Amino acid sequence: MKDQPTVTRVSRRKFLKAATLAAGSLGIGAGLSACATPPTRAPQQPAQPAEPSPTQAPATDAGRKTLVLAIQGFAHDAMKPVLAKWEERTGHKVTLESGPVSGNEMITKYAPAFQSGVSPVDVMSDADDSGPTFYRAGWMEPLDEVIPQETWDDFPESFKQQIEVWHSFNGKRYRVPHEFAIGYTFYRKDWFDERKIEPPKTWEEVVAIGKEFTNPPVFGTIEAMIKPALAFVYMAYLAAQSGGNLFEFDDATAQAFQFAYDLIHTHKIMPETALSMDYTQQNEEYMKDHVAFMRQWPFFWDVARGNKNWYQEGKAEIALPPAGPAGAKSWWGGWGFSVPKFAPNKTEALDLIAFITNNENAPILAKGQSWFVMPRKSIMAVMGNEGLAVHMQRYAEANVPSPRPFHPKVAEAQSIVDDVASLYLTKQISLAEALQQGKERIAALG
Amino acid sequence: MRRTAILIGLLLLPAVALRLFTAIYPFFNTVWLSFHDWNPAFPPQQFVGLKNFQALTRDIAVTSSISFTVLFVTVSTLLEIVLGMAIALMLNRAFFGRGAVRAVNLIPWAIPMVVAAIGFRWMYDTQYGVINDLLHRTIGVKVPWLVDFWGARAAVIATNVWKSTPFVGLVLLAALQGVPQDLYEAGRVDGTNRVSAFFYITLPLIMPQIVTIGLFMVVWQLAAFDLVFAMTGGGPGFATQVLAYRIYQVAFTALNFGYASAISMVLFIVVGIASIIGLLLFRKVEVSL
Amino acid sequence: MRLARAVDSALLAIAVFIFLFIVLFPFYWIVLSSFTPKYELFTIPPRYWFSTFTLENYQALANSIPLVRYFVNSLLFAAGSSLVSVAAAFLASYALARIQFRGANLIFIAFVMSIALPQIGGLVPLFELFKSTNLINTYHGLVILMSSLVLPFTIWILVPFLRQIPYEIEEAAIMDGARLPQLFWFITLPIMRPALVTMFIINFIIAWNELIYPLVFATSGSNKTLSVGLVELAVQPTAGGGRPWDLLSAMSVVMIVPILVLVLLFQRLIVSGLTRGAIK
Repeated sequence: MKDQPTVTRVSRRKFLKAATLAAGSLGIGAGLSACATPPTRAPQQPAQPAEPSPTQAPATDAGRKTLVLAIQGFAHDAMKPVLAKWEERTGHKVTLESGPVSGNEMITKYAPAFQSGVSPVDVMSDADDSGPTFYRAGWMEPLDEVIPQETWDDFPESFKQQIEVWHSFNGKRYRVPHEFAIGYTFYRKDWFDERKIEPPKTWEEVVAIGKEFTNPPVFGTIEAMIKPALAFVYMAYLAAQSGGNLFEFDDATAQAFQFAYDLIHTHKIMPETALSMDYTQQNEEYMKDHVAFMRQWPFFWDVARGNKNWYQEGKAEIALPPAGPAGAKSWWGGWGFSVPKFAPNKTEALDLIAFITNNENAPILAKGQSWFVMPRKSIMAVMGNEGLAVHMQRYAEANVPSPRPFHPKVAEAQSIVDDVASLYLTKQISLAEALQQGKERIAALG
Repeated sequence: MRRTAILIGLLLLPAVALRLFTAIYPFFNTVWLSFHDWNPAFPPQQFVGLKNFQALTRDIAVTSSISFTVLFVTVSTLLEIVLGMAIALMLNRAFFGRGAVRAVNLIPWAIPMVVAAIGFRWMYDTQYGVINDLLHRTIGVKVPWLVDFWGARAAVIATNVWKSTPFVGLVLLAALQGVPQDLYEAGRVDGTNRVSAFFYITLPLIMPQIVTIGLFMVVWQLAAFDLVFAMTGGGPGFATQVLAYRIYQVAFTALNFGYASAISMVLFIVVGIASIIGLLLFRKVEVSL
Repeated sequence: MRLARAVDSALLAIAVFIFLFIVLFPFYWIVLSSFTPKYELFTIPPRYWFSTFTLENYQALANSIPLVRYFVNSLLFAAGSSLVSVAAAFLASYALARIQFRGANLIFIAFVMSIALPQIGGLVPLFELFKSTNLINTYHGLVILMSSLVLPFTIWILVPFLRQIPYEIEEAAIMDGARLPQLFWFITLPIMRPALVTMFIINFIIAWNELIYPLVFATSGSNKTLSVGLVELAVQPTAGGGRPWDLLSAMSVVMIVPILVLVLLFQRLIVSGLTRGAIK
């Protein structure tokens, strides 16, 4: 008998509330389902691939396409003028999309899609550590016939081998380089001038000069080596100078490992904490006046000059790298443009990639963003005597660029170097053990 | 009877469908893949039997990550429960501003893991880090946290505990509030002091929730790799390498899906063992879940 | 006795203070960083207070990623996922808690244990499944993934919650001839409101911070979330830019503030929603 009122009371009191809640959730639901429909669903043309890609806008005029180009966010502004020219010429549209900033994330993001035979992008900027995997898997479109010979000829001789190894597979080219990332030697010209000395030209001088500057917290040199990948970067750099074949862990590679160890633990001209730093931390050290010279990627040029309160002429100049037993070398790599095999608008994408990489537009991109500056003839003709490009040319002329160490299973091989270097440099294993472990694990890759 | 069965089916359908679709099907696919050699960059896909499992017994990157995975998860979970209990007891007391403090409690949990990891990396920095600065000011030492084998392990675990404890505390606070007040009153009449009241009344009553949240934390943390990924990359050496991060590396930097699936199976076995221990504990504390 | 009480309150105050310091300090430090100019971020000794207050990191952030769109996407993704997960968990827990049938407990344990299936291992098969069902790059696809991920925990909270609510009211309603939808709508849902709201918020926060699913399954710009934006800013290991703490700290403040508002608004409800036996 008490039941009846309970029910009615609940219903009366709660009804309005419940109704509001229902309306609210319906609203959210409706909103969700409205957004849920990809814009392409409606006008699906029979000629299109079966998988509708939301990146294709509904074609208003027949034949007008919207392409998606994925590249790191900071490069978008520089891309726009070139894309506008192409849009005007062809009548198609290009949407810029922020891509991942590393090869690993490239693979995480795109491999599942490519594996399923779809591509969310038409043209993409792709890294060294993801590109070769993508073309091996057959997910990229060969570019030999698309890119005119004059574009390839625009690259200097030293690029030939790199393009063959890192941008090609089975004799076909799949990627056009748009970045030239080489480890530069940055140094405190102001300090060196004061002491009337020159930046180190050999490994012996690295040690001698490093000792001269070292007085903690100031150190001769520094190199961020946190995992993942950064210890690999430095070992590859030193192995290029010692003439080591990195992935074979040969004697010259052993020398490179030993040298890194000595810098930290024997001569103490590099702080031990470098082993746990990333590049942002390394740069901070340098800009806190704690470092006399260091290897760093080109982006530090702008970072240093952008630090207005600190920067003065001479604080971050570039010298040639010191020479190890095999000479003054530094390995290089970088990003390049590719077209996925499953690009929704492949024909147009191939036209677009040829356009943005041609000899007329490459310099425009380079003008817009230093990331696009390469020792290409067309670019050097326009800006060969400004800023970083001067040093780029100097490095090229001194034959410094050395090819990035290659292995068919590059990601795994690199992480093996990274692992054993980290173990050895933090004194967890001996050099002999490091080499042994490295060899065994490389052998296990097959 | 039949109508009830249909009703049960209908009610369970959405939940079961979701789990089947997104967890159970992919799991069986993983089991199947673990017996195959499959790397899209090195076709073809082929059946290789136990080869992947043999390979992983010799893979130092896997074997050395198992020990840290177990250490990381065990120590983290124990600390989270002890500290979470302390937080819960504290937040269960009446004091001015309790509501605000309870809300603040959830902040660490709401911070994205990648941000927490990178932020803490800076805080652990030997020179610029606030942690060393505070240590230096109070006891005059500076520790090179992330270079040192045990320092890095401690740093990773501490970050994880900082991030996850508040949530455990919240769940335990709720558990505390479910304990009927009259039990304490009865205890007070008997002259029990607060400490023994906690051990003899509170703890036994909320044990089921402690065990279950512990189990959840264990399983969640076994599968998490973002902290290690963004904070230490598993270094120095393999000091902070965890299985889940190794799976991520093998699957998504090397595209070695077959082998990654085999390592996933190892992880799954570890999770399975943890779950069985958890279920046995449950039985012991004898509670309806 | 009075002395004992004073000591007791003092101890409590100290405990609260230490707790607040440990919890808030890293957060405070992130906020501080986000308002500090890029080149003043790191000093020896570290600064504990604003040196120069600036909004330039936020400006730079807004220039690097489409913040508003990612924000809206995150909102829809998180709200949709928690709504679906709470709804599905509610239905399931009604069956598991209210209808006595053999195997109910077994199903319950199976649900809870299914969190043990590792998420990373299943990405590739999931992607193929999603492709064949046209779910890639759709909000509902992402919502399905995410709501499934948080479902076990939700069920673990809801089933015991429902079990300890007396059945009499519902029984009475059934006797009155209420049909199931009416019963749910007018009785069960209102009684369970604290637990449902709590789980909605908890799942919302988990989804808000979820990284892997949106990264892989939201491949086009139109449905990327803030957490994906985080990846587009950060973590460049080999060549290039390091980890820009200026942008990352600003980004994390953008991500935390909505959550903080949510938690502050519903703080009271969150605790009671997880509480068993606290229904009045």
